[in-house]
Amino acid sequence: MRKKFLLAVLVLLVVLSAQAFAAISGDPIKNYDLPMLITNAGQGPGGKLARLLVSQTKTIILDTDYFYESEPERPELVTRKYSCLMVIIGSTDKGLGASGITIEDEIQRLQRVVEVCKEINLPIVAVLLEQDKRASGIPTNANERCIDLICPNAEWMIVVKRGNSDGRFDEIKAKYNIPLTIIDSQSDFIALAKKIFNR
Amino acid sequence: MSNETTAKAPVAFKTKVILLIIMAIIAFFAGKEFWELRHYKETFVASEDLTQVKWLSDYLPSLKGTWADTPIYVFDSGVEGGSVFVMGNVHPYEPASSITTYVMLENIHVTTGKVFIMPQGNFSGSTMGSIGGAYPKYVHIETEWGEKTYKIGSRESNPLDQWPDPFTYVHYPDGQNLAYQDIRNMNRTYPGREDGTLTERAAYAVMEFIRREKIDISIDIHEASIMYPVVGTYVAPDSSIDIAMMAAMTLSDSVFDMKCEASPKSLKGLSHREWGDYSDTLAFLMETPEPFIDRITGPITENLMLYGMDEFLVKAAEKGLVYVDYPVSYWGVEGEPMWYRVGRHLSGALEAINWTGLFYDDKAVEVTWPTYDDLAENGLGYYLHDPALAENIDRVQVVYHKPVSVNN
Repeated sequence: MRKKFLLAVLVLLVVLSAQAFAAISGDPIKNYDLPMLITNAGQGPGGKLARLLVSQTKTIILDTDYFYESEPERPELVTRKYSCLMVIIGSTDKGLGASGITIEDEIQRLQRVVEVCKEINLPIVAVLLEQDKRASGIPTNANERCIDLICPNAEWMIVVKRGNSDGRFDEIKAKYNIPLTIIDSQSDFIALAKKIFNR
Repeated sequence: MSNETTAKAPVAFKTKVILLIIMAIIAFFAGKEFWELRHYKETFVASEDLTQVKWLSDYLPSLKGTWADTPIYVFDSGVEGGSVFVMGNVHPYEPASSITTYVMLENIHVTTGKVFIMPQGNFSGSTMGSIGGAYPKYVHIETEWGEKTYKIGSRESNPLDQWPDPFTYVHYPDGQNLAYQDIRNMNRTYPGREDGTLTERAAYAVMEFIRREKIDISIDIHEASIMYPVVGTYVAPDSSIDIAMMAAMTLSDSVFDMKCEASPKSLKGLSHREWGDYSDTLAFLMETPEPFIDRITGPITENLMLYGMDEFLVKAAEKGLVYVDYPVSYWGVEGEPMWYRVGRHLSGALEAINWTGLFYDDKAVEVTWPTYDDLAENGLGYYLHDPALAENIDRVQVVYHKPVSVNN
């Protein structure tokens, strides 16, 4: 019982600290209506992580207020009037290549997504949550290629602090005039989501 | 001419005999080294919570008497709850995984549910070093009462137990083509087959064990090179990925950086894919950073295994070519030390178990063992007990491919 209580306290602490002490800095938070769509660039688990974190708000409900599609194409993008498309950048370290998917295939798919978004005026919010994904010394790293494609076409960038330790997103902000908001940790995305969607 | 030939012949014969004797002496001493590792028996002082010892062959009798049989230690609280399976050394050249299980085995306390621990997942693989690896046979952990010795094995099963390898390994049942040596890689042979190769049979027995014991949470412990992206991470399939993500986030926010990777659906034979596909268990695989198995290091020594410090990897890290913080620095020692890797696994496993209980009440297991913070404070050796002490003698267990007593 004592262990259970301690665990409950731990969960509460994670959620509360994420909400009460969320460290969010950089450009002002943008606001969007609901529903919105979450997807990923690079076939990594970041999209699922964002889905999980938004669900932790308890006020933004999956399959009602927001939807998740791992590989959306035109039909999935136009099926509802989404307020924005949150593209969570993060390549799979385990799957690409090993499971027969190439980064070239993924980049081509993302290019199609970007084109459809432009066509239907669906704003893209580029998000990097997986702080340790990037090996910034390798420009051809799948994550870097996804960043190169998605961020210049985004309306807003949200990046976990350590993911920008080399200033990569500051450079994109300066070059393309795209606002950049920094969160200290992944769990801060919970509080940020509440503010973005006013829930 | 004929006389000359006759005169030289005995000399040539003598030379051949001498060379043969020299070769035999070299072979004897080399063979002795191989024999020692093949037959080395690791021991541990079991926690007082140990309730039963099972064997992998209990779940597939054809493994009995083979080098793939291996003990499974059961800790049953007697209180209804979930069940956990922790597996070490499916790749025995990643010894932080087996040492993690030994720390668990010596210090575990279970108050709800059952815990099953298998320290040598691929026992056959623990009986040799990697072919061409030319690295030390053992790693020694210092304790207050002396040194504790653990094997550094191979990635694959020993060819003495399963040979020859095919030209291409075709995974059963999916038919995916894999590298030839992966037919001896237990973490490429799940779900295994009842009448397959020794490694496939061992994998099948693990699946049978998970199914028959209705294991709720299965944790496969590994290590990875730091230039490999899948390091310092959980890998989990869809069924357990939300739990793994919450566990990773909790660890990253409070103790150490932990990533989370999704198990690819089309990558076959791995525990994090097949355990969940062929049973109802929630599967987790964990990786810690092990510079010893990186390909660009200098001498591959016991110090490299113990402390993980290498100047070439430091250069690689400076150029952004590694996927973890490197080197980490503790108590003035830089590298990726053994205590750090074991500590990561101990806390990583606990976090996965605890979060599973929060997601699913009926799978809750209440268990304690030393954590990362404990090892940071007291060191690794502190949690390995002296088998010679009177109060410990009756609790000493020998880990071998068949039951043996302490004195054998």
